Formats: sequence, C-alpha cells, structure tokens
Amino acid sequence: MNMTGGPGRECHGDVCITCSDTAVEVTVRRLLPGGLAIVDTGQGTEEEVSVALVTASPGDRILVHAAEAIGVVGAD
Amino acid sequence: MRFVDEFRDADKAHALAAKIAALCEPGRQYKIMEVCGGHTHTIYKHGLEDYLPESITLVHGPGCPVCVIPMGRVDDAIHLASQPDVIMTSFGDMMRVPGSQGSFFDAKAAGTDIRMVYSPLDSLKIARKNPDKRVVFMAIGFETTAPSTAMTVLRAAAEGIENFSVFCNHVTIVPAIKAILDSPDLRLDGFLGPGHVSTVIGCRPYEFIARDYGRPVVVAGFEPLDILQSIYQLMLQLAEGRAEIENQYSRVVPWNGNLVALQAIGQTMELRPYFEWRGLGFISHSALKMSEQYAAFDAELLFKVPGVRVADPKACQCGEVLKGVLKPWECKVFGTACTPETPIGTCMVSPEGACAAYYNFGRMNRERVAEAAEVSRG
Repeated sequence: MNMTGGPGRECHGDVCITCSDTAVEVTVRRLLPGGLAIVDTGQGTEEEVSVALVTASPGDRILVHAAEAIGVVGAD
Repeated sequence: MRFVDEFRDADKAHALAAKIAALCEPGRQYKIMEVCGGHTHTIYKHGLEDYLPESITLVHGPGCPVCVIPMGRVDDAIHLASQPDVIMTSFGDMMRVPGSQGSFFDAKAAGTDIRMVYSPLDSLKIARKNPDKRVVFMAIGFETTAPSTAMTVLRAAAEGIENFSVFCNHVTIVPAIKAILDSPDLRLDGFLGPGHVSTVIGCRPYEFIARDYGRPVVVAGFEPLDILQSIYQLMLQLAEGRAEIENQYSRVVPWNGNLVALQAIGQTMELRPYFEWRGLGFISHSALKMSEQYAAFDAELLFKVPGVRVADPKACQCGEVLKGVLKPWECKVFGTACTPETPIGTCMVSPEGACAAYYNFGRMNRERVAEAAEVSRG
C-alpha cells in the first residue's frame, strides 16, 4: 500500500487511504527540519511525512493520515 | 507483523464470537452502527458478520468521507477547476464521484487541469512548482483528515505561498451521529465509535450519546479482533443495562484526543452554520470552512463558487444506506446500474462505502436483490 505517495504515483492498496478515514501506522526513521520526518512504511519504502502535530522520535510508531501524523501508537 | 497478526487470530475471534452470542437475550434483536467507513471495510473484508449471531445486525454509518459529499459540491469544484490558470488537486476516490454533469475524471478528460494527490502537502508542492498557476486543494474528510489540511495551510502561510487555496469540504462526525439518533427511521442499540477520528477529537465528544440518548459507544480499532472485542464490550454494556463511552482502541486513541491537532484545526478553520450531507440533508454546525484569519486560503472567497444544489439521482438510495435504513443490496440499482466502475451513488465509489464493500467482497444476498428487483418492478 502506498501510504503518502506523491504526484504521479499509484495507489496499490485496496482502500485509498487518503480518501478513507483510516490512518496507517509507520515507523519514524529520522526527523527532518520543518516538522517533517522520513518514515518506514513497512512495505519496503520510505516516505516523507509531517510530524508537526505529534511528539515523535526515531523508532516511534506513528499514525499517519494524508501525510500528517495524528497520533503516536502506545503513547497514552 | 507487530500490531497486525495478533489482531487477526482466528481462535481468538471464535472465542470472542462465542462470548458475544452468550450475551444475546433470547428474542431480542440488536442493531449496532459502525460509524466509520474503515470499520465497514474491515467487517466485509474479513467476513465478520458471519461470526455474529443472527440477532445482531451491523448498520453501516455515514463515516465515509467521499460518500457524504453532495453532487452540488462536485459541480462547484468542477466549476472552480475550470477557471483560468487553476490547477485543482484532489484525493483519488474523489475523482470518480459523480456530479450532475460528470465526475472529476470526466472534467479532466475534457481538458480541465485536475490532478490526483495523496496529501495536501503534495498539493502545496504543486503550488510551489507552478507560481503562475492558482492551485486549489479539494479538501474532504472528517477530523482524521482536517489536521493535514490545517497544517498545510499553516505551512503555506509561513512560507508566504499565495497561489494555494483550499476548497474546504471537511465535515465533523458528531453532528452526523446526532442527526442519525434524531432520525425517526432508525432505532439503534449502540455505536462502534470511529477509531482514527477519535485519535484527533478524543472520546469526550461522544458523551452526549450515553447521557442524552442512553446508548453505549465503544471506540474501536480497525483490525478484526478490535471490532469483535468492541462488539463484545457493547453487548456487555447492553446486558448489564449500562450506557457508557469505552475506548477499546486505547493503544492509539487518547481520551482527550490530539490537542495540538485540534488547535491547528481551530486556528485555520471554523464551523459553518450548516452543510449539506448527501442523503442526510442539511445538518447545522456539521462542517468546516477556512477561518477569517486564513481567508486568503479560502477558495470559496477567492473564486466565485455557484453553490448550486443538485438533487440526488432518483434511482439512488444512498441516503437510506447512509442512515442504515436500507442494506446496500436493497437499493434498486445496486450491482445493476450502479457498480464501482459506473457509480450512480457515492456509496459505490469509495471502497469504504457500504455499497462498494458489499459489492467487492461478495456480501450481497442475491435472493434479497431479486426480491428488491421484484418490488421495484411493482
């Protein structure tokens, strides 16, 4: 499943996750400036997402929807 | 895979199913609504209805972002996309939603510059690369998606990007649940609360459902065992005569939600007095528009949007399906005139839509489809 993709990429999941109201869990690899991060999608690909709305460090599992992290798994 | 395999264990599913069955009062019928389209998808993908006793009916709620967009908003968006120098950007499923004159795909085929993106951030990238164009993002979705739009607007403002705007169609789930609770058509026993919306808004906004309507809510995760466990928790509450808000998905959903995300939404957007939902009609305070402070990013102010209201196609019964009054296969055009390839109604467009979920995973009861056809022939 392509998580965030980019212009021109194809979505291979059986649900279009950006249109759906379902977020996906990914692992933070490294933090980038500007509240961004590179994450491991678990599908052998890395994506750039925004982590501006959560407190996440490399290794954390985060919940991402439409390239925006909205939660950290196991944080509460 | 961590966080997946342990939630798909068949033995545990059967054990939970037995516990659910044991809680059913003889002769009583139970109607449980799964509010979120993601839950609908899991239920049909994994055949969860087959695990439940016949006395429990799962009713599919309005929580599919694409399904609730009325035709008029699609027409408005296409009108907007046709303006000079505009690049309209939209999520994939939105491309196939029919307006009265066709879908985004039809408009694109006719030469309108409409591009599919995976996030508002991608839309912002297009704006950066095309400074001589006006890039509009067709924002749809519940509180799960609104933070992404909000953060993108904040980034655009910080970077001083002036050729980016949002055609805001974000909706909020609680007024829709209230509209369904107030609907005379339907009596529900309890709700599976939306998992990822609740990551953002938390569990408190559902408290009125227990307090004012006496119905239990269990906020549920998206794996098969999450859903069965949540149904068990609902049934236990019903058996014990309780109506409370419980959080089955606590590994992800904080009770108070994501306050930073809520703040970003609150800063960039404000509630509309009312908004039209497909099949549900106008619901007050049920959608968001850009806030006054961020009016420079509001496509509805930057462009002239006709704001036409289009009645749903007569044959389409999405409204009844969205309210859970009809099962998808009871709709007159289900699987015949209306298919995922040629959808008439929005519920057949998104894989989260109840009709598409039934269609794709073979859950239609052909006998009842034949009966429905018989009735419609009169």
